[in-house]
Amino acid sequence: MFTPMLLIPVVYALRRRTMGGRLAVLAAGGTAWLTAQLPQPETVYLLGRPLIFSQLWVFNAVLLLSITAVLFVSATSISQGWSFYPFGLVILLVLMLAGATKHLGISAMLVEIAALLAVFIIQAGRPGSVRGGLRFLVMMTLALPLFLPAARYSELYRDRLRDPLFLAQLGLLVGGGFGLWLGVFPVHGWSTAIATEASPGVTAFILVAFPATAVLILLQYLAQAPWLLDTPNARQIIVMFGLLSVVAGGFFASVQTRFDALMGYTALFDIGGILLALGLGSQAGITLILLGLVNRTIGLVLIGVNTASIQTLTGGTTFKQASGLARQHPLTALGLMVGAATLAGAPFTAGFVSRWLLLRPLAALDPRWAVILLLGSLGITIGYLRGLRALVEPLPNKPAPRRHLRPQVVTPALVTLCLGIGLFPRPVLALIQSIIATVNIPIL
Amino acid sequence: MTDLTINALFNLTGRLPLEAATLLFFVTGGLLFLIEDWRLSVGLLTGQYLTMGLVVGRLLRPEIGYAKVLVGLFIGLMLYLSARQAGWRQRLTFATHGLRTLLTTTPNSGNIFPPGRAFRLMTMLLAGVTAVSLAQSYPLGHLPHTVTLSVYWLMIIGLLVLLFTGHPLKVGQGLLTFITGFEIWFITLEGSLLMAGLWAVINLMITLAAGYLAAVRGVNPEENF
Repeated sequence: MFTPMLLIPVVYALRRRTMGGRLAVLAAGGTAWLTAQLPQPETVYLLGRPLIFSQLWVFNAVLLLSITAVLFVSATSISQGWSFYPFGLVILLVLMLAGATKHLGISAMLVEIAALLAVFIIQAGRPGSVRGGLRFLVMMTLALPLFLPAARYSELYRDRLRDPLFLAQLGLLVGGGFGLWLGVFPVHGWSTAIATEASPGVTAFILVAFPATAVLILLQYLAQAPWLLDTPNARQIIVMFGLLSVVAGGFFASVQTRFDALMGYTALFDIGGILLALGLGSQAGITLILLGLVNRTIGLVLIGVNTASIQTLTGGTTFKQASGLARQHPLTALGLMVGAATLAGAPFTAGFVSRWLLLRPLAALDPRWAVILLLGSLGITIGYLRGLRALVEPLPNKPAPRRHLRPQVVTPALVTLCLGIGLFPRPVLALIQSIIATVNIPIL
Repeated sequence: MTDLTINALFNLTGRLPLEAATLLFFVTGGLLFLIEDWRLSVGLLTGQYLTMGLVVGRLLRPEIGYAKVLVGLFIGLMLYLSARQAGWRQRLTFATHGLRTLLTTTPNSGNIFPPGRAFRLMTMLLAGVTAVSLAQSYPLGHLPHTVTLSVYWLMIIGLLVLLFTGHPLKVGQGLLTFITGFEIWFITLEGSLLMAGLWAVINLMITLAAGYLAAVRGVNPEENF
């Protein structure tokens, strides 16, 4: 399964050449294809520890590998930093291992290693501010001391203790750790800082790969430790942080004047949606989480790829710099808007299905929650409509010289996929439901 | 021969009471928080790792202590090289100025201590009091009281270093101090070979990442550490 990853040293050696990018695409795509062929579930022992390749893991791995291959294809025409290819592959490999091991502590340490590697592609040799890389380094490292005792205490609680206070402390550790990993409000600083500082393609990669792995680990952990859901007010706390993330993401997105910053706050809003789906505490909620991850992946990659185009064409990502760009590069503007519409949950896009399916049970639980989610969506929509307004503005009489750019081949493909899932969601839903049926995930 | 020397060193230091190790942690951690001179900081952090190696070697097996000492030496070396690569040149050092001069000069005249040192000193004292009270109120079961105190102290002072700086190298030192405190506690709970290996990798990679960020950020001559 991991054989194509043997290409990583060659990719590293050729990272400054087009061939390096092509080999990286081959490694990611090849591993995705081989992973999809895996007979399930498969258990392998590494250093005496079991690695379990469940259907849920395969789903996550194929999603991440495929989308990374897409990002690599895009990066061959718009460089996202030379180190992106080899480091991206190694990070994926480590994250996949983290998802396969069933020990929360070891998973946490592997995610930390992946995060430390990610610092290099976030900064990518760019002199000046290091805020994005530094925040990611600090936040991910601070999560480690929360997960390790949690892993230890989980075993203790399962075997001996049944103390509610102990359970509450355990819930705090696990909740805090996953909050940092997912970049939930108010510890979202790393995601927005990365969005404004890293290359847009790298931002999309980080904002997809790390939260997706965190969600996978969380679901697997809940399947192992279902009693964790007995933590007092667990559901209310999850929903509260979900709503806070939705509100903060929506509000801050509506006042941004840069496409890269907008992407960071859109990701925050989307994480809020995932938490709300978790807070539903039903099998449908788990379905929505996985569907949400698919939408998040497509949406953020569309935004990332096209923000990278804007950056290359205009030398920046502010609305002012992108003024009138849609008249010269309509496909870039279209890709950006479709990605944003997906994450906002606009009709006919992939995101609509998950948002609609989320709104109905939320409204049944508490109508105010549904209204808050809609307001968050409105904030994202306002943010991108302001960006669109700048993009379609008439060109100035003497437009600034802009760089030539090869058309992004991935944009039409992703737009088609996004609209396809929006119009015909049943196959994806059926696939997700079949995966969930194989995992014994408890409900709140 | 080398093995013999290390063994002899461990035998010698093995008689060092844990109270002395705690005192060393207080000194190294406190100075790390107070000073801005990069050479001293790197030296203090290395000293912190050496002390950790001794403590862990006594609590668990000497081999794990050796490993921690080795990791600490690597970290010190890597931080030193990173700081050099960043072109860092602090204005005063012990080599060129006496300690007295360093302590009496005003903050803006190139002191090794950053501005607001009285505030930092008070914060550090409060951190010490907090560590003592945490160690008394929430003892870490299987650990001796002095080691528990060290764990709390290192974690608190590491967080304070993080809070008081924006420089990657210093942030890295804060993180490493915080992680050191946590590791002393956790490695006695779960000291498997895999865990020990992963801890070493994480420590080295934090250093590498912080060093890399420091190198690309470069130096602003106006800023403090």
